[in-house]
Amino acid sequence: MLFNSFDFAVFFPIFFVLYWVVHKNLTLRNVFLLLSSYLFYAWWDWRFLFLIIFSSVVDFVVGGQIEKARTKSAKRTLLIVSLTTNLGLLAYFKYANFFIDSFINSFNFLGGSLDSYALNIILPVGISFYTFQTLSYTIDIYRGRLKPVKEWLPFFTFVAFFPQLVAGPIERASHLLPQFYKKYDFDYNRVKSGLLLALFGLFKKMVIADRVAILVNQVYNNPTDYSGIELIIATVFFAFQIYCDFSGYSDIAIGLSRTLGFDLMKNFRSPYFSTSITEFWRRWHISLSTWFRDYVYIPLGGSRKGNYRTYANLFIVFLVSGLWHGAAITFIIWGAVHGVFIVVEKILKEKSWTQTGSIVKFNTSYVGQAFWMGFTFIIVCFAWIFFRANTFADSLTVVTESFHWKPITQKSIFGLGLNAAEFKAALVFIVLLLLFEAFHNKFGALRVFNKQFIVIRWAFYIIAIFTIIIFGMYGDAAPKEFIYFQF
Amino acid sequence: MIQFIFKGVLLFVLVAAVLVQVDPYFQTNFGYRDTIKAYQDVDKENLSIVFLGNSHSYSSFDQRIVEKELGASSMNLGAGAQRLLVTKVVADMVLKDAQPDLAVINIFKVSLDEPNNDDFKAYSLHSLDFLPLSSEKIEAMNQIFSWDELPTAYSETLRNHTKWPNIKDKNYPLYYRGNQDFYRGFSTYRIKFDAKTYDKFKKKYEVLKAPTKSLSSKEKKRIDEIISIFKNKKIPRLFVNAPSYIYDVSISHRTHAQLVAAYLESKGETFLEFNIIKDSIGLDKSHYRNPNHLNTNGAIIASQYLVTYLKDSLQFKKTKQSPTLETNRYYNLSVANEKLLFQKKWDSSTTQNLFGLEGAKLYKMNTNRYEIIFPLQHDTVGNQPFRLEYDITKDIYKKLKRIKQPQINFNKGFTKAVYYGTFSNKDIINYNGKNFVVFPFFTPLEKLKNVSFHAGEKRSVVAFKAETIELTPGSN
Repeated sequence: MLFNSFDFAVFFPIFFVLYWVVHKNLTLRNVFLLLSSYLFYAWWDWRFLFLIIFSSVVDFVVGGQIEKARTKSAKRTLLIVSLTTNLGLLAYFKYANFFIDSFINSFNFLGGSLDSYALNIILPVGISFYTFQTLSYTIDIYRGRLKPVKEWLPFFTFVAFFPQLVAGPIERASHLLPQFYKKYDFDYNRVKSGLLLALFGLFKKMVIADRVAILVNQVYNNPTDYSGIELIIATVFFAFQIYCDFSGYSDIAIGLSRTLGFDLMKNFRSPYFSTSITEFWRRWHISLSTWFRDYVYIPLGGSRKGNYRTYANLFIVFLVSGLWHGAAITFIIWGAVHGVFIVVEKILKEKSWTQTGSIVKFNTSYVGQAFWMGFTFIIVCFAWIFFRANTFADSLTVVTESFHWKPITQKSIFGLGLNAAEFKAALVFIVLLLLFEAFHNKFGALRVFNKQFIVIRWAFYIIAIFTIIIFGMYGDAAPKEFIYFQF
Repeated sequence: MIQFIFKGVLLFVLVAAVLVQVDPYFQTNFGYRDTIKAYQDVDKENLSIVFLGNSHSYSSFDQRIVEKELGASSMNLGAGAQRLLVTKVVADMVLKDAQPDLAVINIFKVSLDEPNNDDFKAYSLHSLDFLPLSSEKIEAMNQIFSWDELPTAYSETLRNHTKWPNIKDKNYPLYYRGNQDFYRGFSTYRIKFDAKTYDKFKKKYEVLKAPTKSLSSKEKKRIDEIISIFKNKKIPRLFVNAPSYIYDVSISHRTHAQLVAAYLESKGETFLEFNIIKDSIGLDKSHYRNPNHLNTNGAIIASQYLVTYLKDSLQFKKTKQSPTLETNRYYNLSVANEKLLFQKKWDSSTTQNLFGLEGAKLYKMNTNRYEIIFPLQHDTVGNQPFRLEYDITKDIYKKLKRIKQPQINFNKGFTKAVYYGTFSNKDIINYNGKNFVVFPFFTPLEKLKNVSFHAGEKRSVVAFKAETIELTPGSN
């Protein structure tokens, strides 16, 4: 079930009312939440529900056994069982074809002769997200940072919790799991703020992401037909598409969870206002980057083993992050580009000349901030080329052709899939989004909003809803899914 | 919680209320909107004959002929590919407002065809979008659409929101193309089709070879429903199948029509099959705008036959007042009507120079819409370019510009509206042996100033000129 579907628009209000009817009985509430979450997932493909249940069973049992195990090696063996099961499933469903293809290509490159062979594997929606979420449970128990839960129901509900089941935020067991043991009372203001956040997420997804997607898809599906400004526009639009698509999903997930009494971690903090790639990763897909920090970077040694090892660790984390997004060389290059820039930034930061008065003064001035913001955005966009391109060859075409400038004509701008009105609307909404984020970061939009007279607040609700109704992309022509469903 | 639910419901109601207000701006397919607008203007108390059905109905039966020759006020509520399921909603709407003397219902294979596909749904909405909300409409909607389609089916905004750059004022004036005839729901074009079009049409429908063996229970139910609606109000019915070459080329349509005829007969209903008499009443291929629909001249013949049939075979008796005929083209053509906005007959040498145009008669068709009738001396008009011009102001220029009139132009200072066009033989209308051509135009003005009409060789002959023409009927 998609958040931006009619099915969900019917499902959620019914679920919401029933949820608050049964909320006082904790067991009943969790049973209801679990069954609703399974229904939510089964709406897409009921067969893959068994994978979630299987993952839940394995990690619930293994988590309990790790705690009981007396020796370190027994604990480690159990952890390996959990890792093998979860990562094995992930590897099979997500990477089998990639590795088979890579093997055949390498074999043929070395003079062998193997026919192309691909397994017909459907990628279960959200597998990368719930796998990482359940792994955090067993790893934290193994590290002694978390006690295993004794009741299966809260754990199963934690794994399948529908608002964040298919595209995160990837929650840690230590943060989310205890919330299934708490009773929540209906809090009007909390519900209101949750719904407003969900509405904002829908706006980002339906009004911006799905609108610019039309242009991005047209250009990126035929990159050889375009050059110069057209490719640059498509790449910049993709930067906003993926941001609005993914952060929109996160906002809806966090907002809906809030209406039910749950707190999910923040996943985005205005990433395009970052003044460095390092900062970008503190603002972009925070739940994933902190997961990699805690479960990959730190176990690799983090920054404890000297500069070169730190650089290598950072680079490895970003390569793995690229691979997490998809089994393709383009994702690995995307990760590598970020890894390289993170390492370069770290090296530069350690150089004493970068800390001198004039450079620090420039970096902290408005001009300097704007410059680095622009520079960071360009680097991020450059990396997005590899992320979005359908093939590695396409990404090279986009990179090289972006420098082949032709005179700008109306056709070159408005002939990319969005007509003049739609193109201008996309620009206006992107600018409005950035202005809103700047305002929110400075003043706190909800706080300001709540101080307004009731008529203004209700007028805002109506205008916001109608902005989505009129300018939202839905129906036959609109893209159906969130981008991160494929990861 | 209660407070939240209350506010949630209130917000939902508010959004729905705003949506209802916004919906008309997102309506498309203005054809049926204009029909319903025309229906709203009709004097319901004196509505004598109501025509229902599909495009065959609105292309074949010209209300002007019925009103002039039968003296009965009539309205054509047919809509493109309208099924009887939807016709029932239209009938219910009419019977809430009026008690007509007769209902003429066009029925053919498509009227009873209800496939669960997008075409069927889209065509149904062409009518349903403009019909007022009623229990009958809700029932029809529920039968046509699945539950998840209902929000977009009811709301044009939800359905057509991607057309936001082109939304129009909901009071966007009635607009018809230059060669289109529209009068109280009757609508067709003054065009003819060529052999290539016919071959294409034949190929498309010939393949529907399987003859229909029997009417399904659903089809019978639909016919029964429409009969009972009128029967309950004691209103006589006449079922017709208007002229169309689909009857000739498709055995499936033909046998279906025969089954419908037999079923209606078994129910004691009268059915007039035009397709078995169409040759004998003088219809040929030149009377069709496409192989499926009559053109203006074809509609005159079909309507005149229908009027004769009503008088002679059905002994039709009207109980309502006769309609006023000032806006009726055929009435204005036939009589020296003092209520005409302008009329002129020129001398024979001018007629000669104008390739046979004998004179001009200007009358008001409906709101802001006018037509000039040019009676012809013979049955030919050559290939005659013409120009109509009059003074305008900047405000009027802006209003005129909003309406897509293909022939209109403006001078440099926007002080004159100039309509260019060409009459050719295919534009000639024949009514009761009299040939003529017409030029319809739209203007929001109440009077035309410095009007002139130029035609003849290179538009060099000033056919008429007037300092002022009042556009309020009866004021000249």
